[in-house]
Amino acid sequence: MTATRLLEGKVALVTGASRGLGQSIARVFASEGARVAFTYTRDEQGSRTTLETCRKSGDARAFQVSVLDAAGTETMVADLEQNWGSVDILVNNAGISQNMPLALMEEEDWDRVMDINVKGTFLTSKAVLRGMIRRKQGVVLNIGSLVAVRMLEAPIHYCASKAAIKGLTEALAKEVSRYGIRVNCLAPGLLEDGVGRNLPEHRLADYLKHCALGRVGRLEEVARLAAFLVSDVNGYMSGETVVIDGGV
Amino acid sequence: MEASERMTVDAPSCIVIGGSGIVGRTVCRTLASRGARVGFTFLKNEAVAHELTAALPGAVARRLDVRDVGAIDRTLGEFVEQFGRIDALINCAAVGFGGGGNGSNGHEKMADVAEDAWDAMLSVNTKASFFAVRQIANLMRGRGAVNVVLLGSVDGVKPAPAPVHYAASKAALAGMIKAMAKELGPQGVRINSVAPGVLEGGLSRTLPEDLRREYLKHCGLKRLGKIEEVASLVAWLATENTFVTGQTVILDGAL
Repeated sequence: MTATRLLEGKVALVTGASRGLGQSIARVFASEGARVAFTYTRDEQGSRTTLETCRKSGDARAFQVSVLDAAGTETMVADLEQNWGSVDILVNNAGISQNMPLALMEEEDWDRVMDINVKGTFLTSKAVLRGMIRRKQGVVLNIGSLVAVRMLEAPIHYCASKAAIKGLTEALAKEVSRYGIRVNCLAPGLLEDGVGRNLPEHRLADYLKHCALGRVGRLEEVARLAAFLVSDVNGYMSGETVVIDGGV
Repeated sequence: MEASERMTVDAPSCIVIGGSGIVGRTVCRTLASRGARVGFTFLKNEAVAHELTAALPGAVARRLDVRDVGAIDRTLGEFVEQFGRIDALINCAAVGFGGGGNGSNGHEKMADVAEDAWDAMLSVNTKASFFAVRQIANLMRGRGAVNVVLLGSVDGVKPAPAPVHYAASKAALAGMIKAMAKELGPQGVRINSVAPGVLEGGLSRTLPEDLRREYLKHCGLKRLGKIEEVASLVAWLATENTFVTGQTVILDGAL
């Protein structure tokens, strides 16, 4: 329907895009005209799928680098800035969860979830923002979660990490919006694929009962909202957490 | 994506209440530029209404005073009859600072707000939205998905030195749409609100200069919002959205 594509000519970096929401975001961004670079850690096959799908629309690159590898992330960003000119859009998507109650949660579990979800967002943002500040433009979209804004029964380390993402989004928006850089957070409810897919049957039924639209979210519709949020036509939104949950 | 939920595949029919105002007319143009057929209402600004119907293919204008609930019901009924169906309802009709009916054009303090000014503010900014949404839900029941977008304000969701009756009228929308999303979700109505900060035009023009400076000091992006930026978000929620509902989306440049 729209004649011009939302992200024409942009360079986007999406972390954790070998499957799930990240893969969908990479694909939609590519179809909206962006050159897409993405990271993955272990899933070679998923990453190939993402790469091939993105390349149907245009240039795309895959980097095997963990969000906790600061040096590797710096090298990737330098590579992109040299070869593609800039990183205009960063989506901090890489994230994990484990379904477990507090009593069974070990210190390593807590550290792993907080590290990948929060510290990874910090490290990647730091690497990318240097260039954005220099160019006085850029957009960061952090993938949060409904569990960060609503009282829901979910693993506490995951909830804490996503609440941290919301706080990080707000403070970072205040810090860098003076350079014309926008920072927002997209907070989905339960999706058809991703960290919520291991939810026990009775919990899913309970969730759907409380969801006004009566279904879980589709990756594609969340990815399309992500594309709008990072596009230039959404130039005045910053520091916000946008919830997409079908009315939970 | 199921066709019943996503409406971008063909030309959606969108109704814009208050379509001749600064924000409303930009919303009408943005929707039309994305292929929508636009019906809109106006109250006094007949010149703009003519301009829009001339410029936008298939656009239809109707005069509507949103303080008249019976007229809201009739007008929406006529639009549905004429267009066959309604895919999105957007309400841009509002009164702002000094618009509370007491003739003042300032930034009223509580002491200055008379009872009739309170009632007039809530009547236009809040009550009209309730009855418009109720009527569109009635008319479209069993006939597919509808996206509703209401114009809120950052004054209704964040602490700001605003006229209290204005803030209350906009804050009421944030509560109202949550309950509406719950009640109307099962029939396929998604309802959201866009809450802008201070804009370059529209109601924001009446903001006193000292408050404008204060706003710019606290606004991260250090500028006022563009009407087009509001219209883009409204148009996305009206024509592309399939799963956001009950949300008040703030557009204030990191205030």
